[in-house]
Amino acid sequence: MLEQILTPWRWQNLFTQWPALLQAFLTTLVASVLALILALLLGVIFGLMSTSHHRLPRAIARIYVEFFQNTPLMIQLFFVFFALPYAGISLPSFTCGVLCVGVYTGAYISEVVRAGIQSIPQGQFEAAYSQGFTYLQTMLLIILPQTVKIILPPLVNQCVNLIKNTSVLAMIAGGDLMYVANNWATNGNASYGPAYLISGVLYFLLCFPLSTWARRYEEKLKQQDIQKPAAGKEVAA
Amino acid sequence: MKNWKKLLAALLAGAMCFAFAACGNDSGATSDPGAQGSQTSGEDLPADVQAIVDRGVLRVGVKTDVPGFGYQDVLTEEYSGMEIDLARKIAETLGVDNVEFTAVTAATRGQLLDSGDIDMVIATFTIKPDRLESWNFTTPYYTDAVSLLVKKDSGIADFADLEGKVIGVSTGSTSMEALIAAAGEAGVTLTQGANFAEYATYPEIKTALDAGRVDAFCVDGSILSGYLDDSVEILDSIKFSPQEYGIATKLSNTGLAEYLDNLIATWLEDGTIDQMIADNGVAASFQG
Repeated sequence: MLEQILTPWRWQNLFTQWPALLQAFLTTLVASVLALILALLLGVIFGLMSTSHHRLPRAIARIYVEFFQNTPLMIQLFFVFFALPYAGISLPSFTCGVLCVGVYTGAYISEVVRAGIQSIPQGQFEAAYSQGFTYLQTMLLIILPQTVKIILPPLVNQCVNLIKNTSVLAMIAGGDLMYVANNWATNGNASYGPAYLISGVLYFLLCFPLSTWARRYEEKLKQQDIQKPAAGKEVAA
Repeated sequence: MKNWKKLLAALLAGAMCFAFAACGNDSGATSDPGAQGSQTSGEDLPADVQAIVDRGVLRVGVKTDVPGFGYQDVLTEEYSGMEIDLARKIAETLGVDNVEFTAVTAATRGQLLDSGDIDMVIATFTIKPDRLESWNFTTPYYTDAVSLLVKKDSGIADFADLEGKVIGVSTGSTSMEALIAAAGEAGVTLTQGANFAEYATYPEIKTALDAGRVDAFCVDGSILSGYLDDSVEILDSIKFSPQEYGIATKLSNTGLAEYLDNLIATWLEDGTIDQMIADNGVAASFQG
């Protein structure tokens, strides 16, 4: 590995193919954004369902979370990609990847959202209801705005995981960064050293700013007790 | 902070020197062939061959999913195939009792060689000019041809039928460029992005073929024959691009490479390899 990384001509060979790299990087980026949108939607919906007072939505959310958290992403993906065509559902590999990564991460985000909602003192719900707020108003105007601040750091961590998990696309010929790196690493003169190093650096460039920001934000939260002033304003409003 | 930078610079410089020195050694050794003529006497074995003898174990990377070449029975865990026989014969010649087989795929065999985990790869590894820059290869011990596996009802009969189709290939195999070239000669344009999907293992490509994810499975004929069943067939009409299999060694192990090359040359001449091909029910080498 090290020998290859220190061999200049291998790097030159790779850099002549930078359009392919850019294309792959964009594929990973677009897959991440689409999967994140899906994961956030599912996460909020199932997160709300799992804090519901009714048993049915709670049960449905529980099943969703437990199923997707406790089976490997790879198996879910292979099922959708290789098995569903037998049932007449044959989605393109990119769609399969976005769908699977989105639904998988959605389960984790729903747990984050649930924990966030449950961290808001019960008294605030009671206060809101006593002022005549409906469930939806209570959630949207009072609970969720406070929750967002609390759950942002773990949420960003899930987002970082999601970006890295899009590399499963490589297993189903999805054309993402990992797929192209594998391609370089094994075809032609097999410059696996530079290929994996470059793609690793690119994943790092995507994830590091996010996780750093999340860490800083968390530090800031620790220094100020945000719940009291925020809650005070919201309830007064 | 300054010290850190100095340390880093020193480390990098050291690593570069090391790399260049290594390169120098390699080129020096390769331009000096035929230094050792003997291969049977144990006295003047090259250092890298002697290391294997001293260890008492020959570590070989082989395929485990290619019947006739490198195959491991799932139940008995027994290895069989002409490449397995070849590995055992090499061990016997070296006077080494133990052969340790490591399962490799097209994507892992190069890395395993470079990392020193295995001494050699005998795994339907096609000799290509590009690859010679990364590893040593011996004289080819077998020549295969690339072909296509398709579903019987696919309607694919020749290159023209491949237009707009997706072909499954193995990551790190030479099949893709070979098929692009062969189809190009037949006037059919295939592109990597539009017509090919790469999968890590052969069983995955077969799964993809069965599921309708790909329209054809393209790899060397010897490998395809391991995936024949009632629903699929190998296209006899499409056979192209001779694939010469050689034993690969780490680029710096020049002594070992030459030693093996001499062995293969001898065994090709005296019919030992023909016998292995026949013993394992493999078709004779492809004649371009």
